[in-house]
Amino acid sequence: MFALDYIPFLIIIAVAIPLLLLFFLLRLVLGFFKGKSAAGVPSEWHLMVANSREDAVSQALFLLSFLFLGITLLRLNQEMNYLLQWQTILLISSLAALAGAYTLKNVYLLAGGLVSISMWWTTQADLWGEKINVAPASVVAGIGLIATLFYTLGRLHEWNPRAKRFALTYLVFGLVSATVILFIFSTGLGLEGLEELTDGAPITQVPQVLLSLLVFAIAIVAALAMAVMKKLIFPGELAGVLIVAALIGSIAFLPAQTLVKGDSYGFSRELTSTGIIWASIFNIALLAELVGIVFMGYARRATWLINLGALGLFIFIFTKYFDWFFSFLNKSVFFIGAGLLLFLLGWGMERGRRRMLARMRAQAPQP
Amino acid sequence: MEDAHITERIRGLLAEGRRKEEIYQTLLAEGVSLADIESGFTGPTQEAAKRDTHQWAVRVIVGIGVLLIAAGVFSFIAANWNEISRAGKVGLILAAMTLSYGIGWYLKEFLGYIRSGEALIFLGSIAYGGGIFLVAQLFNVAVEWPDGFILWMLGTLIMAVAVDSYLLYYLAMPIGAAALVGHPLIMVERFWSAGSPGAIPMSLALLILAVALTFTVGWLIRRRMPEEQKKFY
Repeated sequence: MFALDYIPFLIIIAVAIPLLLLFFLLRLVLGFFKGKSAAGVPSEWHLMVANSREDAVSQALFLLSFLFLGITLLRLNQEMNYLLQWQTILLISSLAALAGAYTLKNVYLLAGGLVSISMWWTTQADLWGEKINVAPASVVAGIGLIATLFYTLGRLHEWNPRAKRFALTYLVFGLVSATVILFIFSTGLGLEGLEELTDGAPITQVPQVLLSLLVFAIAIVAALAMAVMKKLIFPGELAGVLIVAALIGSIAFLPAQTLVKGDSYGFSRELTSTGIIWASIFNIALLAELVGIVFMGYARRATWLINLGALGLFIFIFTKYFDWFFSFLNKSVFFIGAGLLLFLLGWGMERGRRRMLARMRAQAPQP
Repeated sequence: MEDAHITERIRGLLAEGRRKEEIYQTLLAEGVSLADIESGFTGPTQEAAKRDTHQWAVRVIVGIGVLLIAAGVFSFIAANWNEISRAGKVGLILAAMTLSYGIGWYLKEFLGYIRSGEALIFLGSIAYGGGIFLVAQLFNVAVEWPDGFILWMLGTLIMAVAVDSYLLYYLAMPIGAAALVGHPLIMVERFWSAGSPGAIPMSLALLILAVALTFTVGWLIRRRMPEEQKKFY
């Protein structure tokens, strides 16, 4: 029956387009912040989505063309009595998009290709593990490793000064995906999810998934080694990437976990001692990562990194306030506290950002 | 060099289509100081900003005008829909489309009213899209709506190339995206209502045409980019 098989692919298309739109929105927002904050600093072309109107339109049309190509291949497959699995068609379309991105120097296609190749691996890993009901945590770990690999490839692309936009695309995908994974697992709801994700057969029983993770890990180490040799990565950053990769990768090998106490699921959930340990690890890792992004932005003179880190810190602190204090504070105290926290956060962020940018401007070479 | 001379020279170089960086390099090589170049740019930059503001204002005004005309025409048709014969309905749509295209083209190409002309051609493309769905409904054409969006995108792209209007390229993109999103939506909807989504509800010929045309037009536009720009990615 092809019908049921096709549903995930169709959902992927419906999800991929908003994801891509979100990516371009993020890029535009970063560019906007850059433009607003960097008075006096020459504008950086790689923070813009396109070099010109012609560039933007041609890139968008190429992206549409490759998206239509995916649907056309599916439709052709239907004519040929479902010769291929839909995952295979997704892989072919993704590889075509990535090849097109590098041939046509098209950043939109690169973004589309990265999203679709990640989705291909996710669905394929799900298919590999389906028969023996493998613990889904291994698939999440794979996504995390892919994100880390993208980040490392982004740093490697910085070797070519003309490929800065490609580098930024890899970096944004890697940073945002890894941060989102850490963020989800740092919340009570995420830990409840992690408990369910670890429930199933161990990864060692699915050699394809295990081999994939191994390949991702080797690729990350190789890319990091090259980045170190070419002096494209800071020592602290290198350590951070390795820690995040190890932390997310380790999820794949976890045995079944009990992270939430008995029947305390939902709003009244209470964590077990193992749950508290994992919550502490993910929260510390997330906070360290976000602070690291801000400092890296400062060290690299990259305002977009400072803005991204500051935004992440804002979301982190605010959600933690809700996560930790909503149930045991009086509601009026809770909201007054939230208001004060927001005000102080905003003030602190503006002050810190202004100071950093002022220092960067002062240290920038004068024309 | 005197300030007035530098400004005139900058105006001349800008008119030749030289970029700001190139002008800086040329003038610096001629021994003009950085401060003089910067002050020389002030006049032309202000003029360009004024021109841009004016063009933007015209575009906004004619854009709103076109939308109001479209809303008026559509509300008139909707109010009298039952009294209009089938031939009349098709005739109305065809007339709206050809008139908008024709007058827009005349304004743009013969009278030099580029923005007003493009706005009317844009209106024509909207009428063309409306026409596709209207004809499908009137004659009970058994195709799914994403096919209509592909047809609309194809027609809009061809018109965009013919009249060289970026406004139409921008219109074609969300229409194409609607076709792409519409396809899985129908499949999921069918799955929930009947337990099976059935076959992919899109014409293979239209899909191949969509791939070929979007790629070709993308390629044609890419060729217009300066070689220097293509090297930065």
